[in-house]
Amino acid sequence: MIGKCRRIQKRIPALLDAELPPKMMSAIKRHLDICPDCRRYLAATSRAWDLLAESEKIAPRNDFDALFWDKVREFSISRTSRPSGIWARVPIPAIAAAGFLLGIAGGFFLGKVAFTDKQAPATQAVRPPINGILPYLDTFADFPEDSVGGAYIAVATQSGGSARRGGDK
Amino acid sequence: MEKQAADPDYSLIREFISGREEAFSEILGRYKNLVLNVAYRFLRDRTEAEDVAQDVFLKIYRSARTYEPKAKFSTWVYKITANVCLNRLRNEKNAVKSVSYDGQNSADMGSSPGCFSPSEEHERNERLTVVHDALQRLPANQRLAIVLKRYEGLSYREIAEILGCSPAAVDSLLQRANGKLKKFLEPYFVDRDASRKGRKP
Repeated sequence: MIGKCRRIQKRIPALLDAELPPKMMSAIKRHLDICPDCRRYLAATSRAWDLLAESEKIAPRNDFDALFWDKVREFSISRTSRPSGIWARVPIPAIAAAGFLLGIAGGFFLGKVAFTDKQAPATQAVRPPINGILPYLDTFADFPEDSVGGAYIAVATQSGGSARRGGDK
Repeated sequence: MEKQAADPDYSLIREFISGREEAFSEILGRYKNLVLNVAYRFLRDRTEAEDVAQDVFLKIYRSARTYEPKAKFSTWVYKITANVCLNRLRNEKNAVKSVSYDGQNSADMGSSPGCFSPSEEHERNERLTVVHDALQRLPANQRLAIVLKRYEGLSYREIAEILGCSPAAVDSLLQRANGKLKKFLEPYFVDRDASRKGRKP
């Protein structure tokens, strides 16, 4: 009975709101006829609702409409100060992304020009390859002879020398 | 299509979209009480409720063009009001704010001076304070469901549409809210009954 009462009591607000299917509604009513606990629950719920209903309505201030139309005017002004025509349709993130890409492309182009200008005299000053070997071999020049770097430069110099000798022939 | 023709607010919105601003004044006149009172019962602060109502109408004004008459216009208005109220609560984090009822607010709650004797007036204000305290103790979604059901008399289906959930979920929300309200309010009316019985000879 207690379990049934709990189930019935859960449905009581929906019963008072007439939101139950007719079959369930009549079943609950039948139960209410024989169960004083559930009747008490029903009475308590409807009294709580009566208390809630005592809270009456408030009226808007007299200047409610005027205040609203002021806000609308502010909104319209801020809207007209926005870009118009085709620009109004382009979303701001798209403009930002386009600007970013343009910046990168411009930076890349300028960087390339500056780099080429700097490199031009340098290419003239670059020493011709020693013994036909690329100048970066100089990097290994300071390596001790018994180290890997030293061994590499020794081999490279030898083969470069033979290449030159071969070329001389 | 018939549904649209039957909703007089829809034709007002159409007129407003086609450029007649006065049509919006009519909408404002029809709905300002409704919006204000939903916001007031939910937030329990007159100034905030007025702010919310202004925001709601500004949103309606801005997005009137996007209104699709899938549901009644009033449901759309309730939906916007509910969203603005919930956002306001979220932003201000005043869900657990304890509300003090000053004289101004008690007057707002509909006391009609002259209709009650001072002791009746006092008892009534006390009752209203208890009711509104109980409402404020509910979680936001349950409170909103209670306001829409108890004060606006909407059906579960309409509330579901406004809150973006199923009617079964509304049923469960209201079950929980009613259980809590009954628990919060029961001691009050049990005490009152006891004191009344005590007064009787």
